[in-house]
Amino acid sequence: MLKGPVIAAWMLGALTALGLAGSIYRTPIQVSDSLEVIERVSGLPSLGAAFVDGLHNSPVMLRPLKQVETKLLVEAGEALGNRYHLVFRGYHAAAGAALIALFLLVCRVRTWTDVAALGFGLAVLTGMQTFVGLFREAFPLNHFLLVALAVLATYALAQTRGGRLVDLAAAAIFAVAALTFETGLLVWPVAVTGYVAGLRGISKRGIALMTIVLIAYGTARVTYLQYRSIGVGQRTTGFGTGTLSPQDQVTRFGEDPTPFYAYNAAMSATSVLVSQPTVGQWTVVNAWRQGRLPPVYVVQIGSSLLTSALIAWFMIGRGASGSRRWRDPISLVFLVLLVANAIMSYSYAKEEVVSAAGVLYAVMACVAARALLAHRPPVWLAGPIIAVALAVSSAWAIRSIGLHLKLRHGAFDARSQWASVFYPTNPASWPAEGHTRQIVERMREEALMQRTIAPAMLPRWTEQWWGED
Amino acid sequence: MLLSLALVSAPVLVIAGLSASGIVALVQGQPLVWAAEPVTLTEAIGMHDSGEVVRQISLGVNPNARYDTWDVLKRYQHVSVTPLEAAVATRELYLFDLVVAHGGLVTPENAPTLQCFAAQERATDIAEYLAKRFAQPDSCDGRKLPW
Repeated sequence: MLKGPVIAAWMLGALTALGLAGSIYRTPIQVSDSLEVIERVSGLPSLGAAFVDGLHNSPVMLRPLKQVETKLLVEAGEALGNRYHLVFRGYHAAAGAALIALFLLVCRVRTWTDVAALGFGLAVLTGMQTFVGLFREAFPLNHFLLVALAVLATYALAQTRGGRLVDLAAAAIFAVAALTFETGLLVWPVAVTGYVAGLRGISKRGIALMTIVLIAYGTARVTYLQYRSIGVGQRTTGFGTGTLSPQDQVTRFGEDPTPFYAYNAAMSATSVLVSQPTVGQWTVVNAWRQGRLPPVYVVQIGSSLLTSALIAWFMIGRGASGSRRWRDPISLVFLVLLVANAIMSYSYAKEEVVSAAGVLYAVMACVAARALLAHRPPVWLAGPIIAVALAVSSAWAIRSIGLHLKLRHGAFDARSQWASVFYPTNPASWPAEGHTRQIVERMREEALMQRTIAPAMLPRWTEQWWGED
Repeated sequence: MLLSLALVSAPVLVIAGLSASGIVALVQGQPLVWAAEPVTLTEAIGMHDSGEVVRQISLGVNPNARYDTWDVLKRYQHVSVTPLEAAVATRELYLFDLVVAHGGLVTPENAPTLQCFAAQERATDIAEYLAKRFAQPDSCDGRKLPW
């Protein structure tokens, strides 16, 4: 029978998921990075054809399952009477709910103290700047979200009692994640580190199976499919207090990209811990130089610094067994994932790329908060600790409201993009194939009829507290 | 106990508020927090809301009529403008083109007014667009502009 704290935790999770779903479902399907994929798979005869096509349609990106998943959703939309918004946006909202559910499972709530720590952890999770990218856009499925789900699911499996099914599930999750998006490879170090740290849910046999998948993936990618790795000059990225265009990157680092790669990786990891730099750019320094430091910087950097300090305190402390807690499975997995995720951002900085590390950062915040609640500080220190805890949790709560503001911006952008589809004076750009055209027409209608608030109608103070779009 | 309350109170309040907003959004179509509000066609243009522009016109709103526009083109003021004039006021050629593509008529009758208005508002892209199609008026003196 479920106990009070467990019920309370799931209710908290359900409410968080409902709030998130309300904002996600109000966001139309996007045009940029989405419609092209939808049109592409709509014209393919089967899921298998979508998979094969996905193997060969890019020299650097191996994402065949993304095409399969997109085709599945298109077909589901058709089956439900051409209700594409329901299927695509419903799927995104459901995936968000699944992420929250996995977060709860990994946080392992058992007592009322755990519930308090979970409330804090949920605020950190939904307030992280890396979390926004999991929901603001879809391509047409948000692959960063799928990777974050895969990472949490793998860790949750590693926490179980194990068994053959768990091993198979872990290998399947890894294969799906890797073939959907490149950062899906992060699932492997999560499983291996969990095992090294003492989790036995995924057994040695399971780890071996996952390693076979990894080797098969790498071999196919490099030899059979002959994919290239991403190099310098892929997209504009921040550097110091400025930005570098792709051409600037080639000019400055074309000969020796190592410092550029090192900067991107280091700054990606730093951004998870201190909420700066933003996409590689130290925007806070620019704001400081201009003599104005809006509250958004104070809230974001202040809350991140204090939460990272709490996590550091937790890690260097000793657990019940007497060993340092950085050796705990969750701590080790977080550290390894942070480094691995940052390394995968070597080519350019982008907040979404480190979103898996961002999700585990929130788990760490929850775990560290639980340890803080169990800690008995000297009486004279209790007052200041309570005051700081209130300030930090309030700051994260404010940040989590910002997620919904950014989703409103995203909804506006996504809807606006549809105004240029089926542009009356440019019929040459309309989809030529009849079936695809029907699908796109219906998606356009659904998107345009979905009214969204224009950013111009939002109060000006929202920019001060949550930043420009 | 106090520390638990300090950690959890603000997040729980926010979760409760946002979930209420989310539930209302899922049930009624608009959230409680930052919901879309009704706007006129020219207000939508003034807010660069091209999706709303296309929605309204496709539902039968006349792209050549005059509409009240509050606090968008002029701060804290009502102005009555046509969609093409509103697009000129934004100085965005893509919005002007959007209105034209969806039935906004630029005719020898309204072109001089739009040209004079574009010159007044320094909407250079739109002025160039109009200059390619219509001769420049000799003078803007005495011509009635939106403001």
